[in-house]
Amino acid sequence: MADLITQIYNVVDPFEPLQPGDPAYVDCRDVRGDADVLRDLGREIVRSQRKTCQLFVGHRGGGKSTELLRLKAYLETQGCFVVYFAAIGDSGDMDQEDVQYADILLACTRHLLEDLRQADPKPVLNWLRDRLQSLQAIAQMEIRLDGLPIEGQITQFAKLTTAIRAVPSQRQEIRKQLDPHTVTLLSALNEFIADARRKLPADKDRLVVLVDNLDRIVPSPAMPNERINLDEIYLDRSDQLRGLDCHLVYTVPISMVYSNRAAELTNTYGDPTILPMIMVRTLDGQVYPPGLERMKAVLAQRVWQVAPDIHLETAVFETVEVLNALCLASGGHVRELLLLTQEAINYTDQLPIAARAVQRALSRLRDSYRRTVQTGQWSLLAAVAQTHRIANNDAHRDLLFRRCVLEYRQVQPNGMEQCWYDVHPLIRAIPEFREALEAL
Amino acid sequence: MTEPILEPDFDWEAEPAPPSFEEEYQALRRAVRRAQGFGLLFVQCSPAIGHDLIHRLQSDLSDKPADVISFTTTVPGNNLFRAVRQRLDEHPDLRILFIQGLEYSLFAYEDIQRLSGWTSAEIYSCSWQGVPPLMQNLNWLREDFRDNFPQVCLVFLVPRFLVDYLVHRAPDFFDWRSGLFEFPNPVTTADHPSRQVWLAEHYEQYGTMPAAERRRHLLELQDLLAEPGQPVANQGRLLVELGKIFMADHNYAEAIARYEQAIVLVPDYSEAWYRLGIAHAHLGNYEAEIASYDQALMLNPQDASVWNSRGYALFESGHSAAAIADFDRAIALNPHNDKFWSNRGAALGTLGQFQDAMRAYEAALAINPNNYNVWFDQGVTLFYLGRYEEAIASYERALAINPEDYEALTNRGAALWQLDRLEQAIASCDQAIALNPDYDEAWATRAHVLADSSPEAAIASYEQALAINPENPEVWYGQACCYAQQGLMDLALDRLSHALHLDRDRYAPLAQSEKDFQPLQQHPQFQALLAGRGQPLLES
Repeated sequence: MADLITQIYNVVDPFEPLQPGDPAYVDCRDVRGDADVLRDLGREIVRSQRKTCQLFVGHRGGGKSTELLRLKAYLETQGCFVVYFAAIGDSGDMDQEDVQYADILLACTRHLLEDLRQADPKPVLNWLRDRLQSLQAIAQMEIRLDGLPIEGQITQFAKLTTAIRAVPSQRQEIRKQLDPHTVTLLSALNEFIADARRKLPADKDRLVVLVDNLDRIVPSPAMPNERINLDEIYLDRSDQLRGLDCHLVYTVPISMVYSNRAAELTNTYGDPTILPMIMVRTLDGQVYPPGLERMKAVLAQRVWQVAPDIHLETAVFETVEVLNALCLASGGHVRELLLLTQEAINYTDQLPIAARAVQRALSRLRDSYRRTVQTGQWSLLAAVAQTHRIANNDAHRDLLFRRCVLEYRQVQPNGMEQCWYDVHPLIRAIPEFREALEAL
Repeated sequence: MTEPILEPDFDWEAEPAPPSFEEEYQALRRAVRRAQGFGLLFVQCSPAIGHDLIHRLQSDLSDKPADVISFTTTVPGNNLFRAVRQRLDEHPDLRILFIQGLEYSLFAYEDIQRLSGWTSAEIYSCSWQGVPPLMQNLNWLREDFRDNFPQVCLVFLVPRFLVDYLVHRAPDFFDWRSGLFEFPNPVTTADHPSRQVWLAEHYEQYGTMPAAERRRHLLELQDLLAEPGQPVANQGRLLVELGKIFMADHNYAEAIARYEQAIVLVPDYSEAWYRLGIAHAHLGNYEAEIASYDQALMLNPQDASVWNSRGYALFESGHSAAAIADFDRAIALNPHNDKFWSNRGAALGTLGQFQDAMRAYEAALAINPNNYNVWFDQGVTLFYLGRYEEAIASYERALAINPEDYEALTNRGAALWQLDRLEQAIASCDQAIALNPDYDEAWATRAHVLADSSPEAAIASYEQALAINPENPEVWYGQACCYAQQGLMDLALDRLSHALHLDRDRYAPLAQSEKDFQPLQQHPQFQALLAGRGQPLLES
């Protein structure tokens, strides 16, 4: 059995999103500006008489996947049949550096086919049959439908998505073949979905698709001067993206929501649901005790899995101040909290974790932010720290994307939601930032 | 409602002294030892230190089977995942896998240069075109690494710039780290071999390196520069070295930025001032160029190259007398550089001091008989001195070095013409025209040679010269003479009007005494033209 500090080190690793019902989950709604996926995304799906299509957005590593998995579990108790998949990574179907609409549609198709085994896949397989000849010529892959049982035919679809992902040189060609046929695929898929809906288990009356990890799509123009793929996917193809005959939730890159396309995006999909940071400080910079407590709880719930009831503030950390400093330095970002904890443990031979070890961890992460910020961005950061607002431009989007600027929300006593921005707390101590602040 | 006591009174914003090498090693050792499942650690260090660290960790953690993948070229297929899987298929019991040499997959990409050194604002307009596929591979397969190697701690040993690069180009992958460890080269290793190379040698051969090689040097230099505890003087020298690489890339603005940074750090750094001047010269910033040389000379008046460069800047801007004084200083400091002598000769030539110019060229050629420019310039000077045979010999030496030089061929033609060796003269011009049909002087010289013997052919040749460059009055005048010889007076008057329009002071007196224009002497329009009253006949 490994010693306690080793167990703690391993239990705070950031690799897996929490599964629904995981005891490590901490409810942070009230300190995330009342953000509640079950209510914001879930209720819309449960109550709406018509199919819905919603966008979900948040900082990288902020807890989106964990929340979507919770949403899935919740919806399943509310009479929904849920197909959840991570489009990128985890045997996903796409290459995040180069994603186009057709890829998303194919990925949806594959997962719907695999998850809705009770429905008749004929329409979709027929569509594929019509495409076979031209595709086989390009991809030099063998896709065979005839003579295969239905199960086998369905796996042939996976072959197609794998080929697109695996061979960049063929990707463009395959897409060129498929692009004119995405509309027919969509209607074949909807036929399939209609049948699936008829055959849903007795206690289910809704079909929901949750597409995770799309926020990792890197903006890239297919060719110079063309529209970037994000615009192409979310705006130009919005009719098709929304066209699946079921309830849909797509993740979307945070930079898209803060672009000059934001208004168009809202017109098309309604307001995206945003998962802000956990508010550890208020707008005027005061420590916000409920947020701070929640960050501690995030750590405690994990630590207690290996050491039930251990006192975080004295047994794991040297003092409450040390723990507070760690939580405040994370800016309310969960993965950052876990990273800082692991780094501090690296500088610790034996529990409790000392102030010096935490200081080292902060210093290391601070330095990596210093290296992230480009010359010329310091003054932008200083302005954000002062105004708590961001401009809709590439520079600020870039800072959000790299978590140098974080978003917070709070519901005020009058019920109005207030949204503001701040620089990552570790950035405040960087000399370049201080100079820029003084120069304002 | 907020409780100020929550504010920790410890100064968390204070920067702790950097950890000692040993402290950092212990942290790394703990991280590797404690990782139970999949793990991702990054160690920023030089390859040599990385090598030592791997050894030490392997012996300290002997109960964890470990192996090393060390790349010395691009990762095959840019697919690190596959390389790791292969290794683990061979050794399924591995718990630690050290990975070194990822940087070799990146040198070919210009993108990396942009993100790790350029101050340009273009960073925002990231097109993401040409992002190294290795980075895509890491980001994209992040979960695959986790799921396929659930028992392996991957330890990446990378140079500093690669960490910066991961932050920007593989943020999701880097985000999963359980630690970043930094092992700078100890400051006491100021005599570390690689650094000695940088600081002692002058890497003037950057220009001849392949771009990827230059990029590698650039990144190495930047890593050295970023090392904590680097003495200011070293920083200055590293910046100048970086500037030279940007110069070799013809990126003068970036070079200037580096030289200026060096000067901020080391204000009395004369070489930085000197190189700043050269960079400004490339951008045509004449005043900044001279001002930079002035600073360099104030700090170090013993550097002959700087005197020479300032002299050249003055010469180029028409201040030949001042230029000669500078060249003299350069020569006094170092009489063995043929370039200083040849520059002096050129400046004297522009002042009409041909005899002195000849002496300078002779000195230059005594030092380096293979200096093409000197043979050429000497040819020009000899021509002005009327020593045509010698001029021809000088051009021939130049042509022996550079047989494709159409200017020397043309000038040789002019000298041959002066000696009435007309056929040879025309042949020389024809050679020049064959090499560059757009060189108007060759056509003009050819026409001059033909003017007396076959005016018709000369007129055609002049026409070619005028089609390329209609601003040369000598060509208009020559053609006017040819037309006059043929009795085509209207055309002659028209061409003459162009010549006068371009340079009246020179061509009005010439025309007055020109024998070809004798028949025109009484022509009212001719008189009017010479008196400056005639309407220029722009088209006939």
